[in-house]
This record gives sequence, C-alpha cells and structure tokens, in this order.
Amino acid sequence: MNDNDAIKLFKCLADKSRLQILKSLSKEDMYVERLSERLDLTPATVSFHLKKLTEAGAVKSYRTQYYTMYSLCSDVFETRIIDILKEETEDSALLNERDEIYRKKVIESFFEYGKLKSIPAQRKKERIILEEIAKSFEKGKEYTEREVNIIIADFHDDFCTIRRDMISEKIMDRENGKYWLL
Amino acid sequence: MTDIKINQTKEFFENNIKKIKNEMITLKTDNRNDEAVFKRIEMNVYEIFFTVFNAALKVSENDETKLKTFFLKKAEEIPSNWEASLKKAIEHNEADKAAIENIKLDAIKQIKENFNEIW
Repeated sequence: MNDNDAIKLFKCLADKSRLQILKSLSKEDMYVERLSERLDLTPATVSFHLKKLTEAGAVKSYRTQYYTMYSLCSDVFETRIIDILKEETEDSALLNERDEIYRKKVIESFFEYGKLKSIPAQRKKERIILEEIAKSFEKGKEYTEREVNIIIADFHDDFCTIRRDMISEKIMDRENGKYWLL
Repeated sequence: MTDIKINQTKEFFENNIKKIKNEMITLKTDNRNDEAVFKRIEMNVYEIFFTVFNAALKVSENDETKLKTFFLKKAEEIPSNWEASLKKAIEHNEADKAAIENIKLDAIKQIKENFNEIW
C-alpha cells in the first residue's frame, strides 16, 4: 500500500457511518437496503459511503440474482499499520536525498583537508561528524582505547570528547577496554 | 394577500434552516462529516428558496396569484438542472453525485409541498 492509498483509506475510515457500515460487513455481506435499515441511513447515503469505501479499497461488491452485495476487503484490514509506515516511497527517497545534501554541507563546513575544525555544538551536526569519523574504523574489528584515540586524533585533538560522544551516540560500544563499531 | 400566509412561509423557512443547521452541527460532532456536508447542501436549498420567496414578495406587489406564479415557476426552473444531473449520475453509476442531487430534489419537494399547503 503506497502513501496515497494509505491516506485515502485512513481518510475514508475517519467517519462514523462508514465505520458502522464496515462493522456490519464484518459480520456478513449485505446489500444497500439492508444496510440502510440497519444503520438508519437513507439508501442514497449508504450508496455514497459504499462508493467511497470501494474506492479506498476497503469494500468490494458482487452481483447476485436480486442484489448487488457488498463485502469487506479483509486483506486490507489485515495489513499492519507499521508495515505501511515502513514502506519505502518516493517521498522517503526525496527525504533521503535532502538528508544527503545536508550531510555533505555539514561535512564541508566542519572538515578542512581531512581535519575537524571544531566539534559542532548542535547535536544533529555532531552526529554527522561522528559518523564521518567512524568511517575510519572497520566494522567487526575490536580496538583498544589507545587505537581509538590515535585514529580520532587524526581528525581532532580533543579525542576524549569525540570518543565518549561516539559511545553516547551509540555509534561505538565498549566493554573491558575494547571498542567496536555498532 | 394575508400576512398570516407570509409569516407562515417565513417561519417554515426559518425553522427548517435552523433545524437543518443543528442537525449539521450534530453530525459534525458525531464525526459524520460527509453527512454534515449533505445537510449543508440541504440548508442551501432552503436558503435559496427563502431568497426566492422574498423576491416573489417584492415583485408580486401584494398580488397573491403573482407571488404563487413567480415562486412555483422558480421552483420548477431551478431544480430542472438537478434532475438532469441526477439522471446522468445514475447512468454513470456515480453514487456520490446522485446522493447530492437526491438531497436537493427531496428538499425542493418538501418546500413545494409546504408552499402549496400554505398558499
């Protein structure tokens, strides 16, 4: 389900009458007049809501001998909201692109010839700087504190602050004097 | 032309506009926004024909026949487009448009019935 489909569905569900229609359909398939009597709404109003629900993919219809029956699209309601949120979309790609531009700008501002000019006061910017320094460490390899200090010192003299901040930002972890990338 | 009939008609419009407005607020509060929009549409029809009635009062110059002719003519003319739209909406299976046209036509039916009863 893409963003537009999700928005359409959530907007459609934000209506008491439509929720009541869905509740009725969750019990059994029904036709317009039956829903109309059950919910005390005019058939025209029920048809209006059913059209919206059909367009949002919440309901489907099929013809029987006498009536057009409506049924719930169960698969839509079995979708977990977290799965919708995790879905990669064009919007998120755009956000990633913006993030990358911002990141590049911060790195260019704070690094000069491979050296860190100053430690950013803003946490968001410092995080970017720390991640950049972290690229000098190998994933899966354990380092002593001295090795960590030497690597960081190539970037900035205040290696203690940077080392501690890498731990607090959960870029690195340490135990028994050993450091490694997370 | 009796003032009683004029007042009765005015009261009919005023009371219905007030009643529909209250229903609209209730529906909004009850998270039935689309149905609240339907009420707004219904209220608009009452407001339009209240204006038509006031115009009829002016142009009729105290002539009851003139007033009735003017009002009923408008009550036929204006909804003719709604009927055409309803027909099209049904043909194209557009339940949303059909619902709106039905609301407007139901409202004018009530207005005409009440007008004929009073006059």
